[in-house]
Amino acid sequence: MGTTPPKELHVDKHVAYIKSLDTRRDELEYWLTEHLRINGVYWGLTALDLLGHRGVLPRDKTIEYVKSCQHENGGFGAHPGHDAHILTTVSAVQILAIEDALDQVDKDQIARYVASLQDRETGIFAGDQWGEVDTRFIYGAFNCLSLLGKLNCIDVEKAVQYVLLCKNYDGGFGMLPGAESHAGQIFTCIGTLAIAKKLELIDHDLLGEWLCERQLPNGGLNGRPEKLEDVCYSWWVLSSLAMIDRLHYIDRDNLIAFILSCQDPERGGIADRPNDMPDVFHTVFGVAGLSLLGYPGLREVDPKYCMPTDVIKKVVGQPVMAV
Amino acid sequence: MASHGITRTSYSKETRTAALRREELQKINEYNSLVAEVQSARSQKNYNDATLALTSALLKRNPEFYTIWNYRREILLNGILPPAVTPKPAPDSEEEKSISLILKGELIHLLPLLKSHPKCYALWNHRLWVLSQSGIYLSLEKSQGLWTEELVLVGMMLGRDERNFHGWAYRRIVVGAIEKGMVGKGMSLVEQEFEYTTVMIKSNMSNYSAWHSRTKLVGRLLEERGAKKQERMDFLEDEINFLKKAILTKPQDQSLWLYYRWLIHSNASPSNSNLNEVITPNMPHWIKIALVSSEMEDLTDMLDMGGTDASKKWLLASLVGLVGLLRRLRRSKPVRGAKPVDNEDSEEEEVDEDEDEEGDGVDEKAEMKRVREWVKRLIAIDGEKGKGRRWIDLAANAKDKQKSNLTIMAGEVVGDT
Ligand SMILES: [Zn+2]
Repeated sequence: MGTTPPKELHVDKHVAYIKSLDTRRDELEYWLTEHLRINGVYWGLTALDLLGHRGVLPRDKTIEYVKSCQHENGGFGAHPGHDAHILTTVSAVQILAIEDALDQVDKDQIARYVASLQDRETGIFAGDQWGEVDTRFIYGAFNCLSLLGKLNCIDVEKAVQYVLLCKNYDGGFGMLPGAESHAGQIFTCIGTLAIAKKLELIDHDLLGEWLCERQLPNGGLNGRPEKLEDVCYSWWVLSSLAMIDRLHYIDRDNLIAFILSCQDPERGGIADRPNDMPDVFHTVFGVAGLSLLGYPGLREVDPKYCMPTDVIKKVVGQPVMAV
Repeated sequence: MASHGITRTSYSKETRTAALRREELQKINEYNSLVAEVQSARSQKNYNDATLALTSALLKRNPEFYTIWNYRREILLNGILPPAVTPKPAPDSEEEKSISLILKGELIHLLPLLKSHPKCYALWNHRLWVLSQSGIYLSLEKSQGLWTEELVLVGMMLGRDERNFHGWAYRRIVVGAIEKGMVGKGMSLVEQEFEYTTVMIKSNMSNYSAWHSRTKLVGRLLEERGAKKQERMDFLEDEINFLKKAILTKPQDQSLWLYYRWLIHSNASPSNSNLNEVITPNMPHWIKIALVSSEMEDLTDMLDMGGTDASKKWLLASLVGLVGLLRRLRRSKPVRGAKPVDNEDSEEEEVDEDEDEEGDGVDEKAEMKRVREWVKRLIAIDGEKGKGRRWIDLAANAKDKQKSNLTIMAGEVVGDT
C-alpha cells in the first residue's frame, strides 16, 4: 500500500502493459474475456494514441483482425466465432477510423446492418437480432454511423425523441424510459444528442449539477448518488460535463490525484480503485479522463467519441462547439 | 477485462507458484476445448438436449459469452420447443404443460448464475427472452404465472442488492408485462409497486433507486385512485411529512433532497411541465405560494438548528432553489380560467390584475440578502474549485432571463442587487 500518492502518469509502464495484453494467453482471464476482444483493441489503441504512442500496434495486422470479425450481415463480432452485435460493430468502426482504414470496408453494408436494428416506430435500437434494447445501443448507432458518414440511414429524429423520454426530473438519463439516472447512460444519451447536434433540448444547469455531485471527497467520481467512486466514471461523467461545457464543475487536481492513485506502478495499467487489479477498460477511461482534464503530455480526446480529436476532425469534420 | 473490486495482490502473476500456473494452464485447456466443442456443434447446426447441456456447461463458466446465449436460443427454438403455431396449444393440454416446463426449467436453470453474476447484461436479457416466448406459446394465464413468479425473483435480487440498476429496470419491464396481460381485467400493479418503494425506503431511506421509482409511480397511482383535489393535497402533505422525517434523521443525504426538489418544484412550479409526474396538477396559484413560503420557513428553522455547515449543504441549496421558485411564482400571473382537473374544482382562481410585479408586502431586499449569505456558505462548503463553481456561475449568469429552469432562477435571485 503506497503511503504517498503518485504524482505522475507512468506512461511507459502503461504502454508496455497495453502492448503485453495480447501475449497473456497463459492466463485464464485472457480466454474468459474473448467476448470483449475487439472492444479491448479499441480501448488499447485509443489509450496508446492518447499517451502519445500512435502506431505502436501493427496497423496491417490490426486491420486484418478487424475484418476477420465481420459477418455476412455487415456487423462485427467480438472476435472470429462471436456473433455480430452493435457494440462490437462500433468498436470495429472506431478502430478502422483511428487507423484511417475506413475505405477498406463496405460502409453501406455496415450502415445497413446498424440501421436494421432500429425500431422505426419508437426510434430505439436493439443490440442485435435478439432484441435487447437500451440507450447504449442508440449511442452506438450514432457513434459509428456518424464515423461512416451514414447518419441519414436512420430516423435520427425518432431516436432523439426516444432519448428525451429517458430523461429524469434530476436532469439525468436512464437506460430506458422510467429508469434511474446513471452516469454511464447519461454519457450515451448526451453523446447521442451531441452527435445529433440537439444538445439545446436539455437543461444543462440541472444536468451539470447532478454530474458534479458525483465527485466524492477523495476526488474520485461515482456513477449514482450514494455509490462508490470508480475510475471509469472519470470518463462517463467528465465527458458529459465537457459536452455541456461544465468541466470546471469538477475539482481537477483532486480527480487527477485519484486517477493517478489507481495506477499499477509496477506492471502498468489503471484499475477501478487504488490497489485493485488494472484492466485496459479502466486504463483507457482513466487516460481519457486525464486528457479531458488537460493533463500535460497527453493527446486531446473528443468527449463525444472517446477517440483522438484529430481523428474525429479528419473523419467527421470540424466539431460544432456546444452553446 | 473490465474488472471491479479485485485487489491487485490477489492476482499478481509473480506470486503464483509453479503448481498454480500448471493448474491455470489445465483450466485454460479444459475451457478452450469446451468452447471448441460448442462452436463445432453450432456450426453443424446441432440443436438438441445434448447441445443445450453443452451450452449450460460453458455458460456456467462464462455467462458473459453472449454468442453462446444466442446459440442456446437457437437450440431452444429449433430443437427443444415445438414450432410456434396458431392457435396456441389448448390451456392445460399435455403440449402446453411440456412447453411450460421447458420455459420454467430455463428460468430456474439460470437462477444460481444470476445470483453469482447479478450485473451480467446477457443473463437478464436471456430471462426476458424466455419470458417473452411464454407469450407466444402459452395461454395468457400460464404466461402471466411465469411473469408473476419473475416479479418475486426480482424482489429477491433487490433484497440482496437494493440498488441493483439492472434489477430496478428489469422490475419495471416485468411489471409492465404483467399489467399488459391484465388489461382485460382492468387491473394494475401501481398500488403494489408504490407500496414496494415505501418498504424499500423504510428499510433504507438512502435508497435513491426507490425514491426515483416513486416519482414515476405517483402520477398514475393518484389517477387510478381517481383522486380529487383534496385527496391529492392530502397526499402531497403526507409525502412531504414522510420525507421530512427522513431528512431530519439524515440531513446530508442527497437522495432525500433530490426527491424533495422533485416533490416541491414539480407541484408548485408556475407551470407544471410533465403532468404524468405531478401530484397536484393545477394547484391554485395562491396555494403554491403558500406551500413554498411555508417550506421556506420550515427549512429556515432547520437551518437554525445545530450541526456543521457541511451537513447543511443540501438544506442551503434547497433554500436557494425555493426562493427562486417563490420569485417565479410572484412574477407569474395565475392562469385565468385554467381547466380544472375534476368537476369539484370549478371555483375560478382569483386574479389580481393590480398585483405588484414584485409581490405584495414582501421585503425582497431582505430575502436576497439572506440568499447571498446562503450562497456564500455554499461556496465555502463546495469550494471555489469544482462544485462551488456552479454557485459562482449561477450568480454570474443571473441576469440571463432566457435561462428559466429551477436552478438558474435561484441564480437570478443571487445576482440581483
Ligand atoms: Zn469501472
